[in-house]
Amino acid sequence: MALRIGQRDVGHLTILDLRGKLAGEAGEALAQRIEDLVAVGRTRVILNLRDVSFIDSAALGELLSKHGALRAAGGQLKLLHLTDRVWDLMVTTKLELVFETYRSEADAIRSFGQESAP
Amino acid sequence: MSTRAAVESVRVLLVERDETAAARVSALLERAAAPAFRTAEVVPVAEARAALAQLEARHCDVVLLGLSRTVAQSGAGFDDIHQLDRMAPVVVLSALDDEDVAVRAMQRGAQDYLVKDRLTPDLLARSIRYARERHRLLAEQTRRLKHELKIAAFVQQSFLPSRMPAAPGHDIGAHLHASGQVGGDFYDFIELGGDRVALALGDASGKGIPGAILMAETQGVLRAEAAGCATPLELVQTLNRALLHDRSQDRFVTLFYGVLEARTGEFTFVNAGHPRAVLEDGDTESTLRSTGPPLRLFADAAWEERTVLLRAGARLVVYSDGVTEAQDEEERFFDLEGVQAVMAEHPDCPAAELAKHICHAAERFERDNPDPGDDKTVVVIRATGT
Repeated sequence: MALRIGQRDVGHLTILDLRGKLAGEAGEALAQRIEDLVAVGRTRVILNLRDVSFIDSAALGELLSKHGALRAAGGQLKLLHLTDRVWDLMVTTKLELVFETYRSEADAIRSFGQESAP
Repeated sequence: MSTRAAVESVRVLLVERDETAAARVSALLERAAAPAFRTAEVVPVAEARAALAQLEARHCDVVLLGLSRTVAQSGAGFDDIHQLDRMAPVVVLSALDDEDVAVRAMQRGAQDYLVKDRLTPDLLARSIRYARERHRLLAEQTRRLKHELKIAAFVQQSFLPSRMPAAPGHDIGAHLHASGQVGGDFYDFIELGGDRVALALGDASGKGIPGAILMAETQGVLRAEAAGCATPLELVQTLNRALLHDRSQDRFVTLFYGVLEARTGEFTFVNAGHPRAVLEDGDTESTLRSTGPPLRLFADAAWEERTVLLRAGARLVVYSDGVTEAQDEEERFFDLEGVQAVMAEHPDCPAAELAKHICHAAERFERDNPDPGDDKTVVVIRATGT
């Protein structure tokens, strides 16, 4: 199943709702979408992974790279609603220490602080 | 007027529903033929499906794909371009003069986008000649690339150990199934002397050439450094430093690296972000989980080193994520349970056979999934005690 990317803008924040497998070319498509957001100055991004069944290592590399790119642009990439399998991958690779992860959308939004309020 | 000598014959497949338009293009080609081509044969068909059948049956140099204004506007004919382009170069003859539509047609594989109202014999002849030449060059490049990939796959295969290491009281085996021509998985054994054997199973992120290059670099450094490092931890730290020399952060290597003391059965390992390995000892089963991050991500990374004992009868199974993440057509995963099921099915199987059984079971599991799977690698150590 290909990856579908839905976009919601909450003030200065962008929430990308992902659906499908984040693997193969899907990782590149997501990376491109994040680059497009950076290009228009939207650098605070939350990835909603509730409907992502699995992330492969190439896509994980893309996430790391975009995490760095967003930081460099003054923003951040945060992860929301990780499934057990994706959480397991984060623990295995110890990247749970790199990405901020949230179980609640409200908490994820709040974590960006007042400046992001609509 | 063409400036090039008329040396070649050309067979053109003209896909045009509108008969008047088809007759007009044929007439233009006839006028173009005399100066530009030795002969120009036109094979007319009304639709793309018939064109595909023609291309299956006989060679055509170029497809001229006529699009009406409505079809061009809707983009409906663009799928045809993509299909036809696999067999012959496609030049679009469109009733619509629109730069954006032209760009979209080119993105789908069209060699040129000509507006019907502005066609001249010379323009048509030149477009056909260029399209044919570009297509020929592309085919040649593709052929060369495929040839080079074959060589790369051959070279990569030669990196794998040609024989299993000697480890008294232990039976060691491995199997690797590459999903593409070249891949990011590798395994290796290094005899360190004194009945000590190092085992490595790694997975460089990214498929194809980038993954293969990173895999080759990792394995090269590993082989060079393994004997000089006193512990698995030291080797992993050394390897990480070596791989971090360029700091692009989007590629990494997960690695399971351990050293077996064959005389005592002690196995000391570092699991750098790699899937958990399975240790089966009689009725008990434990997993050797990740003890630190993958390589090439962090200069200040820390790993833990652990030691387990392989008692007589114990089996250690290390695998790459391509095994557990194999998915069937209903998107279920092969998972650790899949590995354990194969182990249970083959309790007394030699190590190399078991490695092969696990890989094959995962391959069979994902056989009906249209998405391509990942490389699958399994290394097995059996403590035979004798």
